[in-house]
Amino acid sequence: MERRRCPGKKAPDSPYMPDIYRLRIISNSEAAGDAYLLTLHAPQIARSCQPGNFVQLKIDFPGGGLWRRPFSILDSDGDNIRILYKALGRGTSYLTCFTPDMELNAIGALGNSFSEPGRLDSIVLAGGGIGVPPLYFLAKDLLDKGYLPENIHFFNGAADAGALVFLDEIADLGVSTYAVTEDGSMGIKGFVTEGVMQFLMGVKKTPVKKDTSLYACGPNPMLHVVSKLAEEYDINCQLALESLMPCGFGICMGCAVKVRDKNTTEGYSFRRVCHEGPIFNARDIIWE
Amino acid sequence: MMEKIDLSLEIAGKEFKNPIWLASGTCGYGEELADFFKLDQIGAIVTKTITKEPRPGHPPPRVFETGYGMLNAIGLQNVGVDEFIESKLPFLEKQNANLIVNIAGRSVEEYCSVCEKLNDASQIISAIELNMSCPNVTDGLEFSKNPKLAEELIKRTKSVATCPIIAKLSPNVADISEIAVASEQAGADAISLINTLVGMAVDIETFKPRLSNVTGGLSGPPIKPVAIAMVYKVYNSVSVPVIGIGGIMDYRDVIEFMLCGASAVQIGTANFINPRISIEIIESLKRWMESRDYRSLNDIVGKVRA
Repeated sequence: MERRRCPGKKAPDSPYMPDIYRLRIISNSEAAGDAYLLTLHAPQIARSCQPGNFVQLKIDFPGGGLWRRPFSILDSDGDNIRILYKALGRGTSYLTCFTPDMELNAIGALGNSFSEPGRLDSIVLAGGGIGVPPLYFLAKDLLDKGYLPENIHFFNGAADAGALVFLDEIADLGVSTYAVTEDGSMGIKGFVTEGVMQFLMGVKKTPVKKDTSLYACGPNPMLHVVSKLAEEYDINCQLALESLMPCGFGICMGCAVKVRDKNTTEGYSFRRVCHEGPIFNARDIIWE
Repeated sequence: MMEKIDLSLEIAGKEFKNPIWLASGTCGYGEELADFFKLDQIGAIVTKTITKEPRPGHPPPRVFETGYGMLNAIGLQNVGVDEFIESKLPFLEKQNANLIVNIAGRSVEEYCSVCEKLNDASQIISAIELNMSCPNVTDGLEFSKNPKLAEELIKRTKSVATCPIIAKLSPNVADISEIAVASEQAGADAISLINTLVGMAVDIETFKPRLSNVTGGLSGPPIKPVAIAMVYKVYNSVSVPVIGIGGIMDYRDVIEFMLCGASAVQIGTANFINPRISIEIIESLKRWMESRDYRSLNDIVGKVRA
């Protein structure tokens, strides 16, 4: 599982390397679904980042917080990057107080990126809760590369209609967009995996044989179910994993995930979500 | 003015250009930090612990943030000494930085076997640091708890290794100076301290420990005063150089350690938050010395007015 460091947007003789930056806040405002949209002036990161990449932000909130916090990049536009986050912990809650022109210390861009699907594949993107950002970035990137919007199916899942993040923006991309809510208040009722399963069943029944590529990001129990579905339907599946991350660039070994590894006597090894990931092939992950 | 300040030091005949080293387990084998600065600027890099055979390490969760500190139980995940020599040493050699290889084993024999293998590369290794103090594996810590075992380990590794031996001690003992004295008498060329303090955290929603290993090692700023007290105690008990470790976040912390007897220090957890912290500390240490008109580390080391 080689590390792909932002391939495609760099000169071959000057590999892009992550660096430490002070990033100026352009805006930081509420978005649909109890989320916040943070725009940062980050020219170096914006020009090189790829879907799946993340930044480590230092949020010095009162009364603690040693580590940086990892944030998946939602997209880049010119010299700016955008981050979509929810105020779930003390760090992210404090982040909502930051206002334009304030600065944030960041390390980025970090992590690997997705492998591209086949040109004519049905592309299924499944985001649970705040798992939407890397998939939104992927959808935009694929459209930029000429993939057809009608082949991209974006499943956006949350507890209820009010918690669905970025639904309109995803629909604005022109891709097929499906809301999935646990309470049935909007779209398909159930977990986001329910929507994915219905879709895969439908594909199986269609007479025209078409390959499917599945991409998912969300809580681990959801990703576990997605992996099982990918195995059952025998389709390629990549997962964007989350983890606690003391460093984010590979030195602490704290964000380990168990993967199959034929080269070890144990048959498995631990990979760093931050460095060999955060994108992994679903079939490599050992769920426990 | 800046050029006149001499930050160099010597330990067991080995020259170090400055006293700011990177602590084991917080800098891997140097590859990732080399993205952020040239490793030859630091005093030394202490590798992640190497064992005789590769080890997969503990399952997740391995880390937890505790206020302004953190717990870890990585479980000595490492590639094993053969793979280290084969695939990690060539990179480290090219960096032209002083290299200290941290090692551990389940028995004295395992430590010795790793030392023997490293002998072939002794021209590029400044010292071997014995991890006698990892709180997260069943082996390791015992050597730091019992002065007789510490003595035997150091005597045996000294007789095998061709480079200097640094004994890295645990704070999880009744009297750290007793172990330090035993280590010195057995021939340790320097003493480094402290490793992490045993700690635990529990999720009150699930009633589960935050770490798969149940307990872990506490590091970061909260352990600094403990480390400084122990450095002070050990410095007053032995005559070999003492290397201070524990919660250093800036140059002021370094000076505190040095005043209490540390000839050099290791930067650990701070690397996670700022991968260039060691370089920034070297520069600010120089500026502070310049402002005080100090010319060498001898002006600071052990000068606490206690």
